[in-house]
Amino acid sequence: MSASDFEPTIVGFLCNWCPFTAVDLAGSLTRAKSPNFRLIRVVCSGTVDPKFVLQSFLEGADGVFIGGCWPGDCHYIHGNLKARRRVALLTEVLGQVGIEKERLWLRWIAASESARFVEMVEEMTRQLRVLGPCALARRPRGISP
Amino acid sequence: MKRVYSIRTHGNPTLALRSLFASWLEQKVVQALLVPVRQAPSAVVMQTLVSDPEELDYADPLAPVAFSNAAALLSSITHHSAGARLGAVVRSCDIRAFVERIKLHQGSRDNLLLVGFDCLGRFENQEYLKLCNKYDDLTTEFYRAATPGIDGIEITRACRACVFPVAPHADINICLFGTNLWEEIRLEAATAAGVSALEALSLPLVGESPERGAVIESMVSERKAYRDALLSEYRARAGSVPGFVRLTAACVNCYNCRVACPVCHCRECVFCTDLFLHDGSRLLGRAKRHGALRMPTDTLLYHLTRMVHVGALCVGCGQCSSACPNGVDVVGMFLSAGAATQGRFDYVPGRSLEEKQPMTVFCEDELADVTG
Repeated sequence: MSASDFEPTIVGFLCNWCPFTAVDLAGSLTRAKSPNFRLIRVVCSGTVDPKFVLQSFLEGADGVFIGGCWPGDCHYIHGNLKARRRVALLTEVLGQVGIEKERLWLRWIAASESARFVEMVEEMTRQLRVLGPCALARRPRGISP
Repeated sequence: MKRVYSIRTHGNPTLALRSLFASWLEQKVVQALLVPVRQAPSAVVMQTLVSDPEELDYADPLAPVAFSNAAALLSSITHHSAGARLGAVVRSCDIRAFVERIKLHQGSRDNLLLVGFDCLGRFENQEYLKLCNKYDDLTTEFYRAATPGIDGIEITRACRACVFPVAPHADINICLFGTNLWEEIRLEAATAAGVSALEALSLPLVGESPERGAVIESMVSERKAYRDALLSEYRARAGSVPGFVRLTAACVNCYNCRVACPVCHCRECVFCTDLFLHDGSRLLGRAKRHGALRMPTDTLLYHLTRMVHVGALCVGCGQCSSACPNGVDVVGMFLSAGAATQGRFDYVPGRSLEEKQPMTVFCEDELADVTG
C-alpha cells in the first residue's frame, strides 16, 4: 500500500454528555462524519480504561481519539481531569514501543462545538495519513496480537 | 535526631548483627524481627519472622541474594496490625516498594522498626546457589571482594543500575560503606524509634564514618552511568514494535513477573479473570481476523498494561526478571518505562510517604500539552 492511498482507522471514545452531543449536532447539521472515525460512546472520558486504548491499537486502530467535556463541565466533576492524567501516562507507555504521541488524542469538546469536532477529526486523519499505519495495528506477517 | 552508634564485629559482621538482633528480641525492643535467614540445610535465604533469639543462628542479613522483594511481606505483617511491635531488616528496594504499598493502604508504618542496610546488591538466585556450592560463607566472600561480584559472576543488572543503595525512611541504617566491616559496623539511628532501639542496648555513640558519603557518591555515579547505558541499549533494542515483539516473544503468560513485583498491587488481576478466558470460537474469530493468533494470547496487552499500571511505581528491584522462566528482559522494560512515566510526573517511588501516586491525583491546571 502506498502512502497516498492509506486510510487510517481512528477509534473514538466520546463522552456521552458534551462531545457526543457535538457529534449528534454535526449529524443534524448534515456534516458527514469521517468514514475513518469509529465511534464508541462512553459515559465519561474518565471511564476510558487504558486497556481500551491499548486494545484498540492492538486490534487495528491507527489512532485513538478521546473526547471529554471541558474542565469544569464534567458531569461527574473530575472525570475529564483523570482522563488527562491517564492519557499523559499512556502516551509515555506507547512511546516505549515507538508509537508516536500524535496517534493518541485527548480533546475537550463542548456540546455546541460540532464544527470544531469535525475539523479535529479531519486534522487527525491528515496527520495519521502522513504517519502511516500504526506498527502495533499493521504488524508484519508472523506477528499476531 | 541522627545518632550514630558502633558495634564491634571481630572479623565477622554477620555474627555481630545476629547478636544485635538477639539483644533486641531478648530486651523486647521488638516482639519479632523479619530478617533474612538461611533455610538450613538449604543454602536458600528467605525473610523469616523470628521471635525466639535462638532461631537467629542461621540469620544471614547481609546475604547477597533476595528470593523475593520484602515489600509484600511487610504488607502482610503490618496491613492488619500484629498488635505488637515488630522489626524488619530489609534492603532499600524493599522499603521503597513498601512505601508505595503504604500509600495504597496495603501496609502500615505503625509499630514497625525498619532497619535498612547499605546495599551492595544481590546475585541472581540460581547464580547465588551455584556460588554457595563452592563457598561455605558466601556472604563474607562477597564483602571481601573489591567489587560486587565473585568468580566473574556479577550482581543483577537491576542492582548495578540502582541509584538508591541506601534505604530511605529506615529507623536505623546499618552503615556498611566507608568502614572496615571486619572491625566495626556503624548504626545510624535516623528517627526517635531508632534512637530508643539502640539506646536500649547501651552502645557507644560515635560519629558518622567520614568516608561513607564519598563512597556512596562514587557508587551512585557509577551506577547512574550503568543505568544510562542500560537504558540506551534497551531502547535501541526494544523501543519499537518489532523490538518489543522480539523482547516478549518467549513470554508464556505465567505472570511470574507480576507475582514477584512488589508494587503490582491489585488484589485480583484482570488478566486472571474471565475477561481473558476466551472460548474456542472467540479465539478462532481473532485468528481469522488477523490470519494468525499467537498463543497464549494477549501477551503484548499484558506487558503494556503492566507498564501503565505499575510503571510509575517501579522501584527497579529486578525481581520480575529474576522470576521469569524464559529470560524475558522484564527489568529492562520496567527500568525504561519507569524512567519515562516517573519522569513525566516528576515522581520517584519510595521517595516520600506524603507524595501522592501520580494516578491518584490530578489538578485543574496541568498537562496542558496533552489536550493539544
